[in-house]
Amino acid sequence: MLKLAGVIMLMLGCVGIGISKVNEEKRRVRELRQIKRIIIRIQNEMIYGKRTLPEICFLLSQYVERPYRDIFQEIYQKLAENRGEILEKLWKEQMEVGMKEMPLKEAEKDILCNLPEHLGIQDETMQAADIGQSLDMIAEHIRQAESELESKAKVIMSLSVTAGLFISILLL
Amino acid sequence: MEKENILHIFPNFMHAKWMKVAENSKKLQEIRLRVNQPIWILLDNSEWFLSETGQLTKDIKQAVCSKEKELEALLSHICQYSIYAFTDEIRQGYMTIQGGHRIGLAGQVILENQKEVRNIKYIRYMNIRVAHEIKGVSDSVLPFLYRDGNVLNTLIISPPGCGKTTMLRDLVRNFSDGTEYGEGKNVGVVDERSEIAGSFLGVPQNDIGVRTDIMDACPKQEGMMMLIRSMSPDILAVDELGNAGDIEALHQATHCGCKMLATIHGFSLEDVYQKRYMKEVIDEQLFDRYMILGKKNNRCVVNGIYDEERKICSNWQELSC
Repeated sequence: MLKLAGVIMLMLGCVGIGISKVNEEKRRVRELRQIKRIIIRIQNEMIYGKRTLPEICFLLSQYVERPYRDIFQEIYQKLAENRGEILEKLWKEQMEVGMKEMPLKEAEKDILCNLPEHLGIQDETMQAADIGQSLDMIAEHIRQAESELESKAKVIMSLSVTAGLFISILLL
Repeated sequence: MEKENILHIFPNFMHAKWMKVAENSKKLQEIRLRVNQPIWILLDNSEWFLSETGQLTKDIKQAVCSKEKELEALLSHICQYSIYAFTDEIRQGYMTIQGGHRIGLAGQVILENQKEVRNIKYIRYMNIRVAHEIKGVSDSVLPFLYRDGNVLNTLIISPPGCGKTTMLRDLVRNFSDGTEYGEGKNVGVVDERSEIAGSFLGVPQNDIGVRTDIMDACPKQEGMMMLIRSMSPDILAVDELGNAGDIEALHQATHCGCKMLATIHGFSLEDVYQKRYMKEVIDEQLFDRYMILGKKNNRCVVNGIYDEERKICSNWQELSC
């Protein structure tokens, strides 16, 4: 009876690990979609609102979910203090700290972290188009992540069940 | 003015270099940056150069030159890293920043249809004109600008650099808030070059009074008519009358019952009378008062206030502003 309970517990643990791994993959897709929404909003505010980046940061701090809300709030506040902070540096620092715990690959984080590197173009349409390149990159990452999610989810679940069974047999 | 106000014009990494200049912020009038040329500074009407160590020097050999990258970084910082949002200002060749300071820009012009300026690229020349709001500068002239509690149509005549805009700004504030000579009036300001209110992102950086509405960065002719239609001001204030359109709008505004407060480049009333379009305005007695500004011993002074018949006002004595 005890052995059976042990096996069940072991199986549940392994399946649990599998589910958490699958959820992490799902969260990655969600985060990538959120980044896409942020970039689209930045692009639209540039073209139609002709807003400056500090203003856009303020708007985003009201509109997006955590942790981005806090990141943009922090950037806006530091820029509003007008102490001569360099936006590119400030943006990168805040993004790196805020996105540290996110289940994203480094290349995916870099898309948002390095966004100010695309700034400095005088024409708003051209500027927005340039930022559009980041949008294309993020869209590609989303496509990849979505297709990976389906296949990966099956593999992870199968592996976790198999690992549970294997360890159970070994212990028995 | 606080030294931080000047330091904040520059990005962080330039602060050490500009510290000494910022410490002299009260006397600071102008900074001129030209690519590969010495950094030129006008302090209390005296010419200085900036040295490598950030000290002020009279010796041009010790002067440090502006570098291309520094100018680009400065422009980017001034535009809040959003140059695309300042295209209209760049096209006009100047922009107003927080604190009301005005930055003049020059570089290579991009034309559209071979005549209209579309943009300026390679901005390699910058002129930072430091805004100095001097409250109370107009207090001494106020008794001459009222009749029975009503503001008189006034034209301020001044050569460049004699405080024309400073005087106009303070008069706007006084007329708007009200003085011992008359109660506060609704004042409409057409701030074509954002120099009067020094608006930054729509917020005036200077005190221009509690009853003042501003049409910022708007051509004078259109701005005057828009303000009359939308805000029905008692007084309309404009800086630097210049062309036939301005004069036409001036006529329309006075016909609508607005009192006018305006400035014009000139050295004397006679000088302005010689200007095209202005002869008619003076002959028609569109203005009730002409205030002539000038300089004496390096100080801005009011040289005289004349009435509509071009006679000096009684009780007049030279005033230092």
